[in-house]
Amino acid sequence: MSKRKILYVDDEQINLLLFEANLKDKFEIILAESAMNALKIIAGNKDIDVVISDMKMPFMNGVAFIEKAKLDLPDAKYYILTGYGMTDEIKEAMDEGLVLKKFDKPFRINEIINEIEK
Amino acid sequence: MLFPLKYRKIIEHHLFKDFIKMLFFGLLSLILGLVKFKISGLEGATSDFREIPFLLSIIYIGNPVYLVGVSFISAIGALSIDAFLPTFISHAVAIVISSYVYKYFIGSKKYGLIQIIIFWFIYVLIFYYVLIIPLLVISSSLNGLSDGLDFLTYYGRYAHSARFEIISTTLVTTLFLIQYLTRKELEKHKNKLEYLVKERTEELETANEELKSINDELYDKSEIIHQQNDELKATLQNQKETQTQLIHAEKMVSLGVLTSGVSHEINNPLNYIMGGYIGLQRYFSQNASNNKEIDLFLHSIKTGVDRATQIVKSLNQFTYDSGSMDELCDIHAIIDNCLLMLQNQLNNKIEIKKNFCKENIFIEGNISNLHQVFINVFTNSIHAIDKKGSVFIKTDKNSSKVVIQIKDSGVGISKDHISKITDPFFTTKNPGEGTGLGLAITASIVKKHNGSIEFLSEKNAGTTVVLKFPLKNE
Repeated sequence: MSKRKILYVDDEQINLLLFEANLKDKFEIILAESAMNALKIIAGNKDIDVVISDMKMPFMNGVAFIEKAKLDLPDAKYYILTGYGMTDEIKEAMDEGLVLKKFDKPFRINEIINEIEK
Repeated sequence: MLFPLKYRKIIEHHLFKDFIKMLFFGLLSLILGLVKFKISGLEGATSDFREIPFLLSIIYIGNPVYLVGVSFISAIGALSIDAFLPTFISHAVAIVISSYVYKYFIGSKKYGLIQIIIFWFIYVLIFYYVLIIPLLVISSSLNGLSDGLDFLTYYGRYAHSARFEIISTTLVTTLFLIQYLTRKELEKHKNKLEYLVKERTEELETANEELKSINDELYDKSEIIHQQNDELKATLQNQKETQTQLIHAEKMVSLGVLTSGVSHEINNPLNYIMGGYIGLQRYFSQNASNNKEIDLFLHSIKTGVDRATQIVKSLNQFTYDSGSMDELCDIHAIIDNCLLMLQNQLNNKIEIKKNFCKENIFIEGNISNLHQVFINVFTNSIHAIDKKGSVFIKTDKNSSKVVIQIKDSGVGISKDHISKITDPFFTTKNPGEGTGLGLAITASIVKKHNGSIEFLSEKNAGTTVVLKFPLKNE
């Protein structure tokens, strides 16, 4: 079984690098430093299994990005990884099934692995 | 009742009364006249007292017919049948004339007491010298009892022999009259006074009635005022509560904005540290290092990140109000979160003793709101402890309820204050140090959760707060 493909979107470079460094052994990681870039990547990679996005990003926040991404890639699992506590917007997105779960920063690696491998 | 009604009517009739009076005065006069003849030693006296009741009868009897009757009875005491007729006639004429004189002079009430007395005194003399004696003399002469004496001689002898009687009768009747008139006058005054008292009493009663009605009116008005006052009080209380909730809501919103911003800014660098930690941990586990210090370093990083993460998380739970009342609230977790947030205030001065029941306790409600409840209660306990002390937290549950007791060793609450502590804006802290909203908000949140909050305290004996919530049954 080939590794699952994960797209991770975050506007902070360190987060991207650390995420990749810590999870590259288990998954195939694709990184995007903005929502726009991520949407472009999705257009060319329809085999992405999981999308994990930061919430607070310039131009487009995590939920808005996922809304758009889901149109192009409806079968992937979408998650939010954020330093924010729960917000009404995230809660709503979760209630609608748009986002499966919200991971908190600082991230707990096992929580993410378990969730994705479920 | 002394007499049956039909007899009473007769007794009280004026004719019957006059008849009785006639008998009384007539007989009295007769008896006093007979004394002269029937009692030994007095036989020779020419004077007697019979004229006294006789004369006085005119005061009491107005009808001349009865006066004639009195004369008749009185005259029975005359020495002989022969003497009876002149005695009767002379007395009857004299008394009838006297009664008119009395009626027009004294009965008219035109004259004062002194004038009446003087008049009476003179009149009695006239009665004797002008009426009785001449009439007796004339009637006796006509009856052939004059012993052949001429009028003047007979008159002179009669007048002389009766001189003592004339003086005594005059004095006694005058005195009696004084007494009689004075008594009547007094009676009149008494009646007038009684009338006045009655009148005044009535006036007072009327005034009293008026006062009463005014009083009733005032009472009604005061009732209305009281009612309005109560309404105003309730409105004010309501306003205070609304104000409290508004202030609180606003505070929580700004706090929420602040903490969510801050938590994001802190969580990101924490994420770096965590990422770095994970990477390092993996590196060292793959490149087996036996350096114990490396473990310590890694462990320290992890502990620090975890603790900072937990604090930020607590803050978020405290300020993020989902608005829903159906969240599953883990009481022990909430208490621990709150203690964590207050860690810097506890320091070394306050010891926290926990006695949690073994199973987890859940209630249904709002997690953020419940955090506020415990933060407020713990903050009060901390503020109540001056130097060193302890806060004892005990949780318990039964089939339907969750009971949380928070007991501190602080200064306590005085009796005057204990009923007011949940009033909005009530505070014993200095201005700027406390808003007086903490417990008001706490109480309102507890109420919203169908719970109760109770404060047991005495000055200088610490405070126990007892919180009760309905248990959420799984």
